[in-house]
Amino acid sequence: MNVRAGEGGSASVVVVALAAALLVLLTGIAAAVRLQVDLIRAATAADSAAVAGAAAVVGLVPGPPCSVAATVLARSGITLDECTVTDAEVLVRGSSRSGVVPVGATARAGPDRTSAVYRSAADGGALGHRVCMVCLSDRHSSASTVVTSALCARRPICTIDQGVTCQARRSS
Amino acid sequence: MSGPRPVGAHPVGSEGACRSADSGSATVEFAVVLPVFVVAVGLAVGAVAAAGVQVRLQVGVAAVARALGRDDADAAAEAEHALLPSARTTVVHTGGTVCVRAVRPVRVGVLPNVDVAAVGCALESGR
Repeated sequence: MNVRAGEGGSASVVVVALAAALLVLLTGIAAAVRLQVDLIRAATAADSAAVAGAAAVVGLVPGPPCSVAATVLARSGITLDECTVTDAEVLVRGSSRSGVVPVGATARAGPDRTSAVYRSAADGGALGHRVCMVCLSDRHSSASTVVTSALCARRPICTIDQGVTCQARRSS
Repeated sequence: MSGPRPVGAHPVGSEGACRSADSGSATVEFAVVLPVFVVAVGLAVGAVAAAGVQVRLQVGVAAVARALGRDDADAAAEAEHALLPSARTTVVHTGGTVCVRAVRPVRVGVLPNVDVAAVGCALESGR
């Protein structure tokens, strides 16, 4: 038996194993990074869509709220899965894919529930010149559920406008 | 009867010679692998940093688009200054929506600068 050849092979095996582990590690990191970016993209698109739908509900823009929301989502390459209008609030759920992993985001927007605008819009009444929207959003993915649960405890994540987006109405 | 073995002389085919040669080949292999490993780790760290930049860009373009959509130029400028520093931004108005695209070069490991881009759209209301 050739002892030198045998031990040389063992060194190659270690190198190949290290290379394989490195490849798996890099692939995993790349997938996780892309997933996070796609989740943020879906969440921000859903935020904008929900706020747009709510703007339609309170009469800032013409058109059906869900149609307006779908238009904004489509511009960001996100598919509208669900759109629900309750009183003056619009809930939007959109989804896309991050590679083979489905990702989605949910956002809910509308005037402050304690505001006169909310009550007026819920009753189908007239509006003032300035409406402040409250938007709460959540993002989800089958691959990141565990991570999201650990980090965020599945709480709704406040939108990037710190919860409030003021939608000014132009006096025309 | 053999005499004393000279210092540094190894009998051919002995176990000691094999161990010495093999440890040399293993060292060479690891010497090749180590730089690759270091470069790969550098790329991974750079990719994570680039993703952080892209997330920041994505949040920024969404905020700027919404501010422009509600005709709030001050908020748009503030968001652009805070969230999109050193990024090239372009604004496109299409079909009742306003879309903001931001591009920023990012260094990923040993690679030259890579452009990271993000697009965010919002409804143009009140127009």
